[in-house]
Amino acid sequence: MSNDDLQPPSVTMAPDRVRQARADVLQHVKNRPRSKARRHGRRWLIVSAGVAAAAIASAAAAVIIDRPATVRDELRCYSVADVGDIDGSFPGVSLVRVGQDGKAEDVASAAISRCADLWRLKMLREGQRQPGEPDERNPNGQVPPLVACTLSNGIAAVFPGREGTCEGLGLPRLAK
Amino acid sequence: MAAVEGIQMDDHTQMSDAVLWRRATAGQPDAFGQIFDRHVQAVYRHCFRLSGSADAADDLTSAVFIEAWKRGGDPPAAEDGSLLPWLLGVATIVVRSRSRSLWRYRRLLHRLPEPRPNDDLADEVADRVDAERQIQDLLVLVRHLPKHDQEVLALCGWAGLSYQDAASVLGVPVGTIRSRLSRARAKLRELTADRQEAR
Repeated sequence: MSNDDLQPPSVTMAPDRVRQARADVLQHVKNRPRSKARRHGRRWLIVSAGVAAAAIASAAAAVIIDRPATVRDELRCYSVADVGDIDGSFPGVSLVRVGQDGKAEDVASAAISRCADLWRLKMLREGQRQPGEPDERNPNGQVPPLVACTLSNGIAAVFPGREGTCEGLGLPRLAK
Repeated sequence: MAAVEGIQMDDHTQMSDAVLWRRATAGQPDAFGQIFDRHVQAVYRHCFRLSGSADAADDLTSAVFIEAWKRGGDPPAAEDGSLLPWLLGVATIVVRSRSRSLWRYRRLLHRLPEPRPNDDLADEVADRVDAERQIQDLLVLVRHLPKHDQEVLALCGWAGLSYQDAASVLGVPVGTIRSRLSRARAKLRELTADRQEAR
């Protein structure tokens, strides 16, 4: 350590924020155990060839079944109708998923509504693949037509698009 | 070590990070919680110093631990078994990646803090604003340095990592760490002198 380094101020994270962060992190760890993630990856490799073959044989019939999201703490809002890397970076924003506390509601509509909020808040712009600051995006807060699908990892995802977009991406629609 | 009905229970507080990590990946989330407890403030400070924002650092801190978990594998521990150098390396990547925006949005929409007494809140806000002003003043100078030099300064000069640990985190030779830090300090001296002359 040296005075040359012009020492920054000493700060600490507030206790309530630490508690919230800890709860968030541990919830994620419990929902995504490492061993389960690895098993899922292997299973996906095994079945992917079959899925691809089915898609080629009949694109229209490849995926027509609605599927519920199994990951209950995350919702993805995409700015492009492109899945990207489902376990890594993707063109959009991830949200804590809410509204799944036992109330009878249309899950797909709720997911679309939540992502529409992001568009209205100018945090997403159609076609944008790299995030920027909110004021750089979608200056008018326009909300394009949105559809809700379910990713292969069980996360609910809302894409700009219309009926048929989920199928075009090889994804089931998010079950209501 | 605590005992319940004759069964010896593990005391996570006595274990190295490396051991805790293995426990966590074997299905003991509380072991990851112990790693979090040990390093949350160091990670927070690092995020604050790199981002210059207390709000961003709040969100980034969670993002760092989640990103660390997602990276998984067998993370490189320091000689004493600590994962802090690695976590600070993950933090460095997270801060300069899109995760910052992502988590800011999460917070904006869904993470309103719980209400607290006004006096406490006012004090905390004042402290945060004051600290932000100081770090942003400092970052005006630091951002004249090359990115790599900034990272070495933050890891060694501010977070106190050894040259060896910083070299491991950044994947460069120890000699490179030394030269980057030396160059960063020389440039900072020059910039500080210029600023004082200007005043």
